[in-house]
Amino acid sequence: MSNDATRKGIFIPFLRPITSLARRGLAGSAILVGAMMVVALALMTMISPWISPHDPIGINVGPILSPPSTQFPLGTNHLGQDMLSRVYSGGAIMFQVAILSVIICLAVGVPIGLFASYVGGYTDRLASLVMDSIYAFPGLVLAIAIAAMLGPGVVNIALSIAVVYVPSYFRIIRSQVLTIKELPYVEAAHMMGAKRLSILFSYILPNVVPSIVTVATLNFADAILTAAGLTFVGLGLPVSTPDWGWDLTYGRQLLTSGAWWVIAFPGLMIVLLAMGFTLLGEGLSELFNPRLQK
Amino acid sequence: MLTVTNLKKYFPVEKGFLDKLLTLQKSFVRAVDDISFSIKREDILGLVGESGSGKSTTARLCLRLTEPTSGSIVIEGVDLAKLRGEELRRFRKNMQLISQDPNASLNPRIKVGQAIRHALFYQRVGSPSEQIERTRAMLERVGLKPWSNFYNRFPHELSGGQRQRVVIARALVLHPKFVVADEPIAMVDVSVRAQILELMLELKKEFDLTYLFITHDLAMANYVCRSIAIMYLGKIAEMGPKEEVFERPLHPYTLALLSSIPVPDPKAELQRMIPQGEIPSPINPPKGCRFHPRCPHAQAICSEHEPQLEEIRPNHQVACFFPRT
Amino acid sequence: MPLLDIQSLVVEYRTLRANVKAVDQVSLSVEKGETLGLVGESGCGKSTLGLSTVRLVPFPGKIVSGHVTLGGIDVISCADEEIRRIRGKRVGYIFQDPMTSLNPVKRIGAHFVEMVRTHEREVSKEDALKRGREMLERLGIHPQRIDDFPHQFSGGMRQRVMIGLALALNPDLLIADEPTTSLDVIVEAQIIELLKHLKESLRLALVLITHNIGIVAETADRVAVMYAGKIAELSETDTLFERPRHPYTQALLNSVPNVRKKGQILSWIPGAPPDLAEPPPGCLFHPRCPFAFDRCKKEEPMLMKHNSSEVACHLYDKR
Repeated sequence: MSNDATRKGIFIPFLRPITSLARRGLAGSAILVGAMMVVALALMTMISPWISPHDPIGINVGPILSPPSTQFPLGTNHLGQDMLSRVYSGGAIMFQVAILSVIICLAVGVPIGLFASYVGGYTDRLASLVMDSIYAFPGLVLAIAIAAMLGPGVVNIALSIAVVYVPSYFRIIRSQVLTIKELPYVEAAHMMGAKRLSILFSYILPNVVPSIVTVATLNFADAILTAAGLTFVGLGLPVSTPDWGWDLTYGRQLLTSGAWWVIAFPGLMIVLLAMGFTLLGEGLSELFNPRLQK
Repeated sequence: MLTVTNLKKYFPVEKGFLDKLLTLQKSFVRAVDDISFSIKREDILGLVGESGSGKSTTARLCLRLTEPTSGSIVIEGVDLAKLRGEELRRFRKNMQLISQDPNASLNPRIKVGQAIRHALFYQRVGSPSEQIERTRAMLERVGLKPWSNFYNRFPHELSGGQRQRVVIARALVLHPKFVVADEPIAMVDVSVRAQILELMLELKKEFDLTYLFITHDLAMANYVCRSIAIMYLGKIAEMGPKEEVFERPLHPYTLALLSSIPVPDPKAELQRMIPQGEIPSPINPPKGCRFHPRCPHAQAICSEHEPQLEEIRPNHQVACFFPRT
Repeated sequence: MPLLDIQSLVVEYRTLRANVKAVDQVSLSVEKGETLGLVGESGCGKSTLGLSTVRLVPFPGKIVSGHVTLGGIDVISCADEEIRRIRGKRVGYIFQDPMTSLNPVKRIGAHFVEMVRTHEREVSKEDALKRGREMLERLGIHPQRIDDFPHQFSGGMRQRVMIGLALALNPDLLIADEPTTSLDVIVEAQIIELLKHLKESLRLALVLITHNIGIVAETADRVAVMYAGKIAELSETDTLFERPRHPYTQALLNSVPNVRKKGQILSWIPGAPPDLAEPPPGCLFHPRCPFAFDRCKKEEPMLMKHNSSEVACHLYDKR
């Protein structure tokens, strides 16, 4: 009896948000599915040391370039590395890069966005000018340029992605702040004699958070793809780390020799992870700004 | 209580790049163009006008939510323009605003009770427990009883009328002396409007308030206000006690307005005196009397000189060369 | 045969939370040349009712049951082709917001041409423009302005243009949804006078949807008062104002200020309109009704004849 009760007790906190999300229709399902995908892949990456049948960077654990079989369910690559183990652990770098870049973006983009647009005037114009210039560059190209300048390494990739993405945060926050700034409830706060900083943090920021969250999730998705892209171009990480991006690079070359499995599975993982974040982001955005009112 | 003298507010018109090069002249939206009036203590002045009349801008100027281009606003002897920084912030507890849209006037992320309490918090009135006590009392005073049902609700959980009450509670919890109500019932359902108005009148008696009521709804202004000032294109056309203005209107514009109000009585005889055309732009108002292009009684002088406010009957002023006596 | 005949119409909004009956068993009719005022507060279903007569109810709304007959044609079940032919040609519609109802990148002339030629393909562009100019003149706008863009018109003028477009093909019926709500007082009076004039000269039937009782008193021959998706009362204008029967009508009339009445005391209706997702049992108005008795809490009143009016209230149902 008590076991049942405790089991229910653990589940209910999880069930409530899930069921309320499910009720929100399309947006809710997008969020649920996206979140599940991301969580599943994250879990997989985290427990990879325990579930990988072989050392992901161990060379010649199996025959070179063998197709998927019972022994090596996802095949092996040209170095004889087990693709399954590589797929399990290849996401680690991706996640690190993505999380780091989002943190940098939040730390840099949000304050600039908030202050510049709230204060207005020349500060705003200057900030907008800088941000728009960065935004005008095609993302991947800029990321490549910065990564080339900084050199390899997780932090550097994260930095280059962050630089490319900060303008997106800035723009969204700016457009929100400009709208909210003029709303009567902000005026009311003014009327109550609140200081400008209080207004910024208690009245404006909380209402901007939903859009920040949305951008952040899409940022994750983009970061994953950009990181893969950077590694693809050779600007990413040392070869020894297991990484889906590396597998893509080699896999592309190996494709001509008919070894489709080297590129397919890591590629699929990247797609799934990016898709998961995208679904999450789109779902959140739909949730906060529903298009179908009433 | 409140004296406004020669108040002007011009908004510069943003020009495109080429326009800036080609025309040296700056053009302005003359939202408020040299108006003067005063409100006695505990009076209710209705500032009535259509769009472009400058009534909302005047309200914001009186609350110093925006700076006048020139002119002065004096509240209980204090010149608003002279207040700065901390002084200004503290003075704000004497004047509050009830605005039009109950949806946009409340922060959607803050619980209703907290929103009201913020007013006390920012003005540092009382201890935290006193603030909470006062907030609860205020909630019940505006009819949201019991307070426990409402204190922790978010704005979207309440109806339009309830939200407007919260806005009123927030405005009055500081016991201000002067309250500006900008179309407070325009966005509230018709069948509930009178309730909100009654509440505002009761609270006025209880807290000895002075109201500046901004509206385009003449029928409501007639119901609630004691004095009326009719604005047109940034100027005051007519001003006086309500009975005078509504029953013995002097300005042709006032006559036009009064005859245009829909009357909920099918048997009523409507003698419409509708002027032609529409309100011209406040960027380039007509020369002379602003109303002359649409006025059925306009004469030569009306297009050359601007009429000033003159007292034609006791306390009843009008800015017109040919008032309709 | 009435021009517009609505029988037991039910329109639902299907949301995940619940099915909301925006229009619940509404029956009314409009004769040729008659003006019907459809009055109610926000959320009562009057706009939905208007839209359903031309089958323009937006998703997730759906016409669930009932009949709408326009000039003999069943609007609900007819083919898409048919309904498109009806819209504009037999029925003109004025939507709520003149600011956004016109295409900002098209000249007014282009709007007219599109309107006319969609229904009468034989008409040449010049002829369509000529008609447009004539229409503008009739509405008090300088005919040369047919070449202007919407943003060059003020609110009142835009509304006139909308009326012009709605009448471009000489329909028999004009449905106006809150035609004056966003306009200034004097412009509102101008538009009402214009509608009255057009009504006479074109022998137009008009359905005026509004929450403004004053303009209904002025223009309508008959008035239908809606509450929470149902018709509370339907009668001739004079009768409605002199002897309102339904408690909601009475309360509503008492809450509207009349400038002509001195010393008027306004009253109000306590509470708020019901949440249609979870409606109260029995009569939807009973929680706010000063005259509610037992039967009101259990049974929904039907719209029934009482003298010359139709009322949906148990007070008048002596069964």
